[in-house]
Amino acid sequence: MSVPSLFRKRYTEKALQKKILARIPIARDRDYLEGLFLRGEDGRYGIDPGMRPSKAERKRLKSLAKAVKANRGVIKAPKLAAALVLLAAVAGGYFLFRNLVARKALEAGLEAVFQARARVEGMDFDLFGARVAWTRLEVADRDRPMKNLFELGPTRAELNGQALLRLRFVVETIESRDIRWNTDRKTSGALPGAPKPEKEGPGLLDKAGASVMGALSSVDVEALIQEEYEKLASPRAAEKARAEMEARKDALERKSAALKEKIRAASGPAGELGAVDIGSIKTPEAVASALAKANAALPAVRELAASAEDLRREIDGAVREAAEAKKALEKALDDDYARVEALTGLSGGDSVSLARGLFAGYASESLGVWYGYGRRALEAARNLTREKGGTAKPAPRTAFQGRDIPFPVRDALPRFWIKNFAFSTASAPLVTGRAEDITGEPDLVGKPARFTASYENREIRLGLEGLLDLRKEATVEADLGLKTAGFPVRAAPPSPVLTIASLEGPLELEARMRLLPGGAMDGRLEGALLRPRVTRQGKGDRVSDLAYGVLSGARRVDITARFSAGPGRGMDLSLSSSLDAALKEGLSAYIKDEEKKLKARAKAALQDRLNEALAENETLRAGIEEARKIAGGDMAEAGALSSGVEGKKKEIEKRGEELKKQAADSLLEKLPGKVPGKLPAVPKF
Amino acid sequence: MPIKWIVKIVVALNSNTRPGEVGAGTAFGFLLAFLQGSWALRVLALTLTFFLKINNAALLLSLLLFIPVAALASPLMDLLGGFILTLPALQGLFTRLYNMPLLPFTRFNNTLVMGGLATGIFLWPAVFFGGKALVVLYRTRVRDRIADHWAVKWFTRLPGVSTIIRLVGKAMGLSRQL
Repeated sequence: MSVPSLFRKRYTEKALQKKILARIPIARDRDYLEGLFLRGEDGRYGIDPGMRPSKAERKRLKSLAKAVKANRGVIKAPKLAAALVLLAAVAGGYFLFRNLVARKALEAGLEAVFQARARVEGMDFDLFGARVAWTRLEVADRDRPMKNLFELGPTRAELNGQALLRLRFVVETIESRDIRWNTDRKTSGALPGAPKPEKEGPGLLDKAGASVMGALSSVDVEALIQEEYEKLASPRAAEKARAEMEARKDALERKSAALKEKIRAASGPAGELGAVDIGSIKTPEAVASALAKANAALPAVRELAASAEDLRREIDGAVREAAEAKKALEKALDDDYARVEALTGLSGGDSVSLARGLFAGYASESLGVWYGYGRRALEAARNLTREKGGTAKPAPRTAFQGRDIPFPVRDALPRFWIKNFAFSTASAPLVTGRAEDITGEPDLVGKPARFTASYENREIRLGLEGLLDLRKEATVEADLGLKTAGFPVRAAPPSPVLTIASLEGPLELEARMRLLPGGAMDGRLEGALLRPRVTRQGKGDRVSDLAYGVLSGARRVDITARFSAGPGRGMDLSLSSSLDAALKEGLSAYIKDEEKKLKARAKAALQDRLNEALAENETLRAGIEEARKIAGGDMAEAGALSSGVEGKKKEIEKRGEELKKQAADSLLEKLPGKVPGKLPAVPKF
Repeated sequence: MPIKWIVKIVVALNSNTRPGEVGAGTAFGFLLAFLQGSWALRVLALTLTFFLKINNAALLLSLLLFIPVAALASPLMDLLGGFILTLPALQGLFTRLYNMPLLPFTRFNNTLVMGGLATGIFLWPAVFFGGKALVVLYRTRVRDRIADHWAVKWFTRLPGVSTIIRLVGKAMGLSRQL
């Protein structure tokens, strides 16, 4: 047929206008088409069936029919259908691949947080129902790749659908049955390119693990002095005194030599003056000559006298300082003796604690494990913060990016938040636990993550509770509390302590550990080892027998410890036990005797170390005394010279006066008449 | 690409394409150009155009034309957006919107986005009707005069030109009017 089917139909006038002509916007085409449609007998319009259009007309009609169809409606039906098909494909893809995608996403998230291989099996993700479940999940231990950090059996999680629409992954509850940890792996759980595991936990506590019980039988006094020498006050006091006395001695020697020189210089004029015979001075000229000699010698001897006085004061000062330095040194020595004696004291303190010797290793190891777990938990939480809650880096600002106007946010949610996580084991031993508010943005949640767990297996009960707080203002990052009852413990020091190889028994314990910002930690523990069983190795002496007797007879051993550690310093572990008192009582006589010997040895060892410095100081002090004696002679000589010259001058002056008087008397006697005693009165005018 | 769009828009102007389609294409191009800074709103608007019968060539040419205009008008958009976003009467509405799921991803709280969105929506009808009127004006007043002009007729009858027009027309689906 030559006319398109659209135009072969017959239309009412209204339909023709609406369905055909109104859809041809170009007037010339519309007029052309309107001319083709003729009104029939039935009142309908149609193209003459007998019309035989030319090739050009057929082409035009075809084009117009196409335009009429294209101008129908405003929606692109084929594209809408295609979009619907695409949507259906996406929906199909979701149903087919949702579990695969969710599994991969969860595995990637866990691997980022725990830095080790993670594996999820039996994933069932329901986006619209906001539910996720899996049959098995395992996360490897980063530091021990052939072990799993934990495994979760069948688990079901309820998500917050509203939060999902805001792209926030908020888990209302997770319930997991059959939780396990520290299980073996068949393949390595290390991630490709992961750094080599660091030694953790006990490594930090190794220092504290060294047994000090050996001190009781063999205190290395020399080593102790060697170790403590830098901390002692007396070596420093001796050195200070030596330096001061040396300086004083040098100054004294210099001044003494100068005085000698001055004596030598002054002794010439003074000698000449001394040689003058006063009796031989008969004339005023002789007096004047003697006085001139005295005046010439006087400044030198006066300066000599002043120098002698100065030297005397200097010597007095040096002697006084030497006495004070000696006193200070004696006091420092006394303090140091006391310090060394305290270090070797056996009557108290931790250095000879039997409990420390027996339990330090076990406590260190256990604390190390818990410290390691605490640090691991903190690290995982921090990874979570970085991965999920990290603040997005602001994009570099260019011109006219506008400003973001902040509006109040109601119910601000973190990007990732597990509100409740409950887990338990499927079979004995029974483990149940609960964790709350696990999130990467704890400041938004406004509270720390809390957790509790309990373990029960026959007689053994163990309870754990704590919190992890990574909020900015947090003063404690983690606080872990542990309670045990009937927990089997075997404390075995690296080498037998007083022939005791190990101590076993059920432990009742209550411990608390805090991890502080900056990596420091502290805590305390109180516990009791019930009905301890003692294993002995080899044959011991009186002390060993006594210690064994005390231990094997004890029904209960109470242990108390305080511990702290921090970056750049080892573990400070202060551990005491009821054993110590019992053992101390039994060993009191022996301990006193040993203590006395040790103190004497320590004092002697310290004296040996200080002898050289003390002897040097004593020599210097003697040197100052000697200088004092020598200078004393010089000062006497200077004094004698000075007083001799002064005396001689006075004698010369006296002689001069005598000679004047004699001359006056002889002149009066030689006069012809005496001068009247009273002059005649002068007449008045 | 722009040459192809120009050819397509010439085809649309000279064929029985509805003037509204060209007008809508122009208006959506204008809106997309002014929605700078919000990929979410642009994707949303583009998705809408995918299902509507609009002239894509007009959209793309309009987008190309208005992008520099929008860039130059950015300071004004920033001021306008800031004014709208800080209107006390609208604070409740914006706060509610800001707390709704997914809506914050449109970045409507950005002054440039809000200014562009407001300008785009406010001027959309004007651009639409203006574009439509221009198409009608062209078809009623200009098109026939050009087609009937002796110079055009002479030019199109040239052997080489007529062949090229025929071939291009076939390739591009040009109607016989050309």
